[in-house]
Amino acid sequence: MKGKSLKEERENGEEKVSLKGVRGAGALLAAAALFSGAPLFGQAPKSAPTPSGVAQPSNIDLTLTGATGARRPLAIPMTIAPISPDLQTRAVDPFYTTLSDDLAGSGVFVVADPALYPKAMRPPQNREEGDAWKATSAQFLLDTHLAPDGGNVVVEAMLWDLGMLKPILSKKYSGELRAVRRIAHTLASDLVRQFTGRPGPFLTKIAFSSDRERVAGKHVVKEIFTMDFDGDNQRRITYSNTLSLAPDWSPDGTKLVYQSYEKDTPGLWLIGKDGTDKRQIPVPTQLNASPSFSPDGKTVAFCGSVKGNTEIFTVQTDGSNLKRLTENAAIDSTPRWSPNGRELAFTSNRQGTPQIFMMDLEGANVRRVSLAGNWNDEAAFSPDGGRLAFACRNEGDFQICVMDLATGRTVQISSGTGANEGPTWSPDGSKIAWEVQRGDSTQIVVGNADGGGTARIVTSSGNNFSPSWIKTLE
Amino acid sequence: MKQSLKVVSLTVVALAFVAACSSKPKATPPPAPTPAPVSTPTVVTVEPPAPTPQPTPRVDADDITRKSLSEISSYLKPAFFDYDKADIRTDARDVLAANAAWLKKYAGVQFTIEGHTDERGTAQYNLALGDRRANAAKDYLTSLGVDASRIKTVSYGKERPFATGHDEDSWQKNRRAHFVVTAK
Repeated sequence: MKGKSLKEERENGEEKVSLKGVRGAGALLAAAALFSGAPLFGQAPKSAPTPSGVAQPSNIDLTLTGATGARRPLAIPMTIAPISPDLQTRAVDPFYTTLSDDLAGSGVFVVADPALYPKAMRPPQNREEGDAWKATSAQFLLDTHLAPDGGNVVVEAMLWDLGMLKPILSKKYSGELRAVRRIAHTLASDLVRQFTGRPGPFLTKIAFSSDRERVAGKHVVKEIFTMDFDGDNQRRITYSNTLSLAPDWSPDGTKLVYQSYEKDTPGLWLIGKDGTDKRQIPVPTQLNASPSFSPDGKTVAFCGSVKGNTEIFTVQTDGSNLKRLTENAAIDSTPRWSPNGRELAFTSNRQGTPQIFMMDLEGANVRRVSLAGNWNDEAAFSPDGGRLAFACRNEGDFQICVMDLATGRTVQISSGTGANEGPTWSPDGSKIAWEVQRGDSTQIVVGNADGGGTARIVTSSGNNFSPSWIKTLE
Repeated sequence: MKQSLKVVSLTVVALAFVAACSSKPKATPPPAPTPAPVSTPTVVTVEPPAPTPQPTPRVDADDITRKSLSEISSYLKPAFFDYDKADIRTDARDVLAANAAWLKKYAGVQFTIEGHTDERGTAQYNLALGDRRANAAKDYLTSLGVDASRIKTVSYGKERPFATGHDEDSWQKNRRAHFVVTAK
């Protein structure tokens, strides 16, 4: 097993090189513009700040952490469409870019360098043409065609196996012109499903808090927004005109719980994903920060304060059955529910510095999880419960660490300067979003959970904080 | 309530790690990145430019009826804190004692103590830390005889900084219990 892994890892290591050549230059340029002078988010995986006692994983280990196997080399030549500059800019380019970005970041495929693609041999008609495509390192070819159809566009896609020289997947989609990116996400998701049995996360949403509505000279105001996982379709959800912070999706993806200062003192609030049905969860505690939905959607864990001591509480969404889980003079904060619903991770400085602990729902079986570094905080369970992502710091800036809970092995998936905080997992466990502050700008980035590939900045308006990835895949 | 939003310095020493602070006032700016407070033995003590204790504001009882709430709020001086601490420092004791003396004179004044933190550390943890600072100041005032029923507390964590620089000068200004008078 070990030997086999290593072989795959090396392959992946090589694949990553070509992957970088393909990545949307737009995303990289945006990153450079936002944080000029700072290194790009090359997610060259680094070992986490671990003490000598904890295994120091190599880069090679990292690549495999989230991979389900070797990545399939895939060629994605430019989508064929009727020649029309308008159609090209409004439909073909956004479709092709979205599709390529999704698949390159999928962890399932590695996209062969388009500079190597042979011209006008698609789909391959004979072995010679098939071999010309295989020379690009691709084993698969995704042939796409886009055509206008009244006000709609129709996309036909065929996935070719270049070894067998035959199509193995054929799909047809149609939709409004403005939905062309959604068509690309749907196709990418279907392709991932073809190989993994599960759809990709390309149609999922992220909720977050943003100060973009602030008025100069006035108090900072933060509102809750949602967006597609790649930053498209940003939409304001709350109109609180005060601080609304730290959203968390309900398990079914229909609503959000968040902390808001709407009644001057901070409280727990629920709101529908479309901004309707807003209501407060009545609790007698103060602070009421960091709410986290239980996996069954009935209960919320949060950080409440009683007489200046912050503790972890749970409460039903109607305000009933308030329960205090911690009883400690130290700071206890930032609870996160485990996917099996039986445990909570939280942060406490009861042993000196803020560290991540776990406990059961009775507040018993408390144990420290993070062992290295002088500040570990904001834990988030992977959807399968096997890994924990968190903001980690030993010296210098906060980074994002991912710990395998069975082995304790920890890897750092962010790099470069800036404070990296607030990780959240995509529902398929392949990606992690977090916030990074550099200078006066805080933005949300999305990277692969195994640290491979390039993390992309997906927000730019104002400052953006506390991403929460929706927990449903479709 | 006025906030001075001076951008002190935007040099990207930002988030460089500065050691825990003691409470003796000293004017020197913090040195370049120094080791973390807990994990390393070579902690360099960086003294914050602690504000000097303010004398008890001299205002006649009649006066405050004519003053705005924000003016009255400015009579109550903020208590400052050390990094990642909610303990009342020596200098903060003097400030809070002066505030308590004034508050006892004007028993009709109701007020909120806001707990604030600097930008280092995560947002969620800082909300908890700010809550502790506000309550530490409240407890100190009540120990001096100020009626707890007059006091509300709220934590803003690092959400509403008073100074927006990324250096110790700004950070110290933001580690505070801040007073806002809500009724007179």
